[in-house]
Amino acid sequence: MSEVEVYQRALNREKQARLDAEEQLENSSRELYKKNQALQQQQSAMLKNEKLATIGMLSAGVAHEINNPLAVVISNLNSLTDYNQQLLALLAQVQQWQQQGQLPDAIVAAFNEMDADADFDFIIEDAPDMMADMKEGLIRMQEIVSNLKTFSRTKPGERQYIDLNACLEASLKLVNNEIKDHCIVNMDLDPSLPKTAANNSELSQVFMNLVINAAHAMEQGGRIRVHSSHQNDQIKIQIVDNGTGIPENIRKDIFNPFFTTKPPGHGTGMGLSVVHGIIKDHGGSIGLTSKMGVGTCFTIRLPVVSTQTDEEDAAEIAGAL
Amino acid sequence: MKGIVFNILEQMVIEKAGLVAWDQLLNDVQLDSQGIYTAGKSYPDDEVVALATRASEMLDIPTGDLIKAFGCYMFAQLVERYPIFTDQKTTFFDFLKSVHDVIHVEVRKLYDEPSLPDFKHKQINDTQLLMRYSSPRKFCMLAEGLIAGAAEHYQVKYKLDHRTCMHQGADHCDFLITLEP
Ligand code: HEM
Repeated sequence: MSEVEVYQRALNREKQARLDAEEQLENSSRELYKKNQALQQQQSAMLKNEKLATIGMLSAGVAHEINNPLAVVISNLNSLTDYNQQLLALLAQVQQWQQQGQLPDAIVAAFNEMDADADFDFIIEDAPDMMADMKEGLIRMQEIVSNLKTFSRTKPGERQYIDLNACLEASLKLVNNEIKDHCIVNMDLDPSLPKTAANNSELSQVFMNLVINAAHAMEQGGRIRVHSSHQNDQIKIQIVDNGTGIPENIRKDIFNPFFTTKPPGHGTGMGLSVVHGIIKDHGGSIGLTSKMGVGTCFTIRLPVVSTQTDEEDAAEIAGAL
Repeated sequence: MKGIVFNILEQMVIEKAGLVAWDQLLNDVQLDSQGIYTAGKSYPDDEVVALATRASEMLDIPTGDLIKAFGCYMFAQLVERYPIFTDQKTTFFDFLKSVHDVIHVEVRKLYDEPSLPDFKHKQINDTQLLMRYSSPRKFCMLAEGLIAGAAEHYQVKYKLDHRTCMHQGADHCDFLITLEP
């Protein structure tokens, strides 16, 4: 055995050890990268939740402050509409008397002078429209305030023991008119879905919002798939469309109040924030996956919650026997 | 055992007996790893034992003494690689007390799942420290050697009484360390 061979072997060992070390370095870099990504995701989810909570508090405050003056304005506007009608009737009467020559000349002259300034015909025509527009605007404001309250509500709505499949079906019937012309809806419901304690009308609002959003994402028509399933104590509901998809850069904002992609005047941007608030209230979570040009899937997870008392259980069993 | 321990063992053998001797040693024991060691990876503990046993035969030194000598050598190497631990502690005893709570804690961050021993310590008085070692690997002689290395570093004389030993059936080893003037 020559010394050269010994050195050769030592060199080979060193070389192999270096390759092993490089492989190990790569593996730990990869591991680090994955962990870093998971951390970033967690952080952004946390930030998002925190942001939503802050917005929730803020909007609860705003909603509360706006609600009372708004009620006064609406009630006063209702009275004003009545007063206005009476005044307009008086005006019409005066005009009639004038046309019939029943008024003294001095009064006619004064009236004509006022009319030249004010244009009573125009007022008679325009005032009721203005009143109606104002009322419409105020009602819209009231809706926004009430949605804000749902989004930021601290007290959960009443709970009943409900079948979410039935709730899904009923919600779809309600929105059917709006979507049936251009969308096909497929239902794939888990027949053994457990009942859970939830607020039927709130969840119905959630499902309707999601289905209508899906339909809006498919102006050219498409298919909406509604899917329910459960595993252990968790219910999963998915609403999937094959629409345009939600661009990556807006996904993080989509549950924020007032976030909308629709042009001004179309939609308040409250829909998904209300959805988020309701699901959170139910102890669940909502998330989405989306691929541009392929579609979007909203996934809702809700815990199975039992509120039934033993007597209710007994009554249900007795009824089933 | 992490590759770094084998790397240092290799370095010691080559330094003291030459590369041919290390090559001979590897050839004699025939290990799964083929003697290829990377600092951060783990290799079977048996390989250290096999290498040490064969080396002690070759050099005609009792295995325990050889491992202790290795511990002493390893300490100097570790200090060279990680000077911060001795820099932070000014006395021999303070340093020994930091092994478990500071040094090996740091080792856990740098190495993936290292196999480290458990140490408890009790300072009896200014000149006496009791260290209690326990480890499934029963490398108490390595620990003795590392302590010897630390004493050299801090330039202190001491006596070590290995009064209880895992190799005698105890579930731990006790080292009573007494400083000597
Ligand atoms: C007097 C001081 C020290 C003592 C008594 C000591 C003791 C030990 C012992 C006995 C082991 C073998 C494993 C076992 O028995 O289960 C070990 C492993 C080790 N120690 Fe220390 N140690 C000391 C200082 C240090 C220092 C300064 C470092 C520097 C970073 C260090 C790093 C390590 C590493 C990397 C291992 C190998 C871990 C593995 O193989 O997975 N130790 N130590």
